[in-house]
Amino acid sequence: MKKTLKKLLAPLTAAAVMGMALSGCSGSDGGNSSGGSGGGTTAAQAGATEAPANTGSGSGETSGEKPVVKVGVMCPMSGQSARFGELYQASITAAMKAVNEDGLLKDYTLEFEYVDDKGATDGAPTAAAYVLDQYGAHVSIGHMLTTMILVSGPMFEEAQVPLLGIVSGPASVAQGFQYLCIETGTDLIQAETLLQYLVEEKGYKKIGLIHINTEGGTSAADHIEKVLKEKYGEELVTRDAMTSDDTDFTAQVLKMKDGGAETVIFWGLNQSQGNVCMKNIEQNWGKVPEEILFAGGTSMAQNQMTETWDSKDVEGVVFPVGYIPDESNPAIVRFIEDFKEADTLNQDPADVPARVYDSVFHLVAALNNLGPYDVDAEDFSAKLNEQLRKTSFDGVQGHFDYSAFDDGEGLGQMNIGEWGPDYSQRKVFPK
Amino acid sequence: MFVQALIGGISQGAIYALIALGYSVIYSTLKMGHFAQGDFYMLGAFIGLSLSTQLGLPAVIVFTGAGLLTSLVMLGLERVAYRPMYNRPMNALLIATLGMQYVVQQIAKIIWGSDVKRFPSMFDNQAIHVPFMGDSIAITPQNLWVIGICAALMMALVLFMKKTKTGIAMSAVSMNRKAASLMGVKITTIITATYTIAACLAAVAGVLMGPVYSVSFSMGGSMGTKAMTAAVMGGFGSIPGAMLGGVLLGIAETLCSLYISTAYKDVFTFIILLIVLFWKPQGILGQAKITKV
Repeated sequence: MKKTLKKLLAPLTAAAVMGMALSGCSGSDGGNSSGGSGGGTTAAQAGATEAPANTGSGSGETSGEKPVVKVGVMCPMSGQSARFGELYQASITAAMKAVNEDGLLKDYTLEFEYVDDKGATDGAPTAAAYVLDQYGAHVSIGHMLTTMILVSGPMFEEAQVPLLGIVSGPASVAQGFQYLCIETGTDLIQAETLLQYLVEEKGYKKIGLIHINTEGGTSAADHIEKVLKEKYGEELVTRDAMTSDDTDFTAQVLKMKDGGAETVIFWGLNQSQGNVCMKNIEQNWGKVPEEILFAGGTSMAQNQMTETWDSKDVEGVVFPVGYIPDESNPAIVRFIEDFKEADTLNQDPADVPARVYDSVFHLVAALNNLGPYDVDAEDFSAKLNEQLRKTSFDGVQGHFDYSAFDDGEGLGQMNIGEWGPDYSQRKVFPK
Repeated sequence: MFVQALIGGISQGAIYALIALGYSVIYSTLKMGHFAQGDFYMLGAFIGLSLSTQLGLPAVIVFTGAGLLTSLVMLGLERVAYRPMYNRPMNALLIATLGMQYVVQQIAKIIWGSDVKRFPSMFDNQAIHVPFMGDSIAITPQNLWVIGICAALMMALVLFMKKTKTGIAMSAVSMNRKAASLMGVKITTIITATYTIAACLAAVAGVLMGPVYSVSFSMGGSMGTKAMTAAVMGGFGSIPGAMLGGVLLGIAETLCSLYISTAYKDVFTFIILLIVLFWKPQGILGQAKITKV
């Protein structure tokens, strides 16, 4: 008996494994995806496609009157960054609401498939593979981190499918990807805009700089130094690198004070470190912002500041940012209202949702410029990419003109924001 | 500028010293390291944050409460993870402390989440400007409290080790565990007391630093490494050595940032460590072991 059972065990186990493998390999239809860890978990039905008339299944089929353009959205939908996935969805829902209300998209219908990239570099290739191979996207929006773009970028290059990147790291555009567009200003543009504000608008000549010692931080610091020298004929008073573990900036502050700096640029990732630096300035040097202006990179614009800085400390801190609330701009007011309505937590939008929102309008503008074209044609994505790389449009972050660049950038100038009382933000430049 | 930087360095070094004291207490009694010491610093900061913001308790109670509660957590974890390893090779216990790092981090992450949390300041941050040689130096109440509390705890620890029964028993265990056991010392109790004291010291350091740097579940890693460096520099197992090593490390970091470059700060401090170890392998105040042949 035992021997019989043993004999049967092996083939039964093999059959079970085969059965599991075959069921796991089933392709996705338009709604459900089950391929691998990066497989999409929500279908086109999830919120974002309420506006288009036909969202349905099938790749590239005409749905009703207009052909369907398949958009793969790669965003974190699990883990620590899962909230960002919700922000992506709310942004796309808000954007499509505006597109449909105004009848902006003439010749196509958009279908969105959300794919979990886990918000981490190792999730990027799986998500990209799903979007390209199983979903068959014509275009993709996504990723939170520059490193993820660096990993999935070559896959989109090879597939000749455009990727609209929601990142600001200059390393992404430095790769020379021909199928990548960036939906915000890079760190270098942010740095230039900040310098423009500090030097031209505020008249500061003596600037001290502390920057994070990552590649991104160092390249931004190099750019600041270069622009300050070449454009304004000035040199930095001090330039210091910091690590993410630093907990005291007394020495750096004393050097800046001794050098006569008038303003401090703190280019870091960690908002708490910025707070420590600011307090070191107040203890050893002078009042912020009355005596010394404290400026940061785009990390200083994020809502996390409200969790790590006291409201009194954050007042007067300035930062470069793409999106900033502006009640005088009807497009921004509409974005805020529609986003809050779509968001599960009814929160106000911030920088990342604005980038996703603008990416939809970028796509719409490019499709309109392309005009009617067969979505099943082999070169549809390539043709779409050509348009994406030279389109101009007005987004909530500002005016995008991709023809002005040859590396996938479109936003030539950022805004400068300032924290006000009770964690409010206002735009201070350009006026 | 030098004196100002010195004050900042001493204040920073006092925090390293407080965590390093825990390393030294454990090493002096048990002759082994404790990789999770930095994470009890983090746990203490979180507990202090909850006591301060959610219960609105005064500073004294926050410090005491954080120390006691962190010690209780250590007691529980020691019973579950360390005690079964006491009769096994020392490496097993060392590996257990390595694993404990991740356990404590995950506990903190589950309870408080992974976001950075702001810890409202418990002391006035307004700097006091003291005239000095034609200029003025700025000292904050925070600096004074950090240095004062660390000095007081160090003195209390030295008195505890020399004057109390438990402290003397801890010294006896460190000299010869078997002999101490034969003399009636309960080894398990002493080991538990050692870990508890170390956790309490780390927790106080966490509550001191929390308002300065905010609190996150990952804040213990780098601080633990620096404190271990301080403990090694001052003499692993020596309580005054841990204090001296911590302060020296803080001063070295600040002065290097001021006069050389912030980018080379860690390189500089490790060069100092190497020089100290070449000169005195047992650390500045450590005692050389004499092996009779």
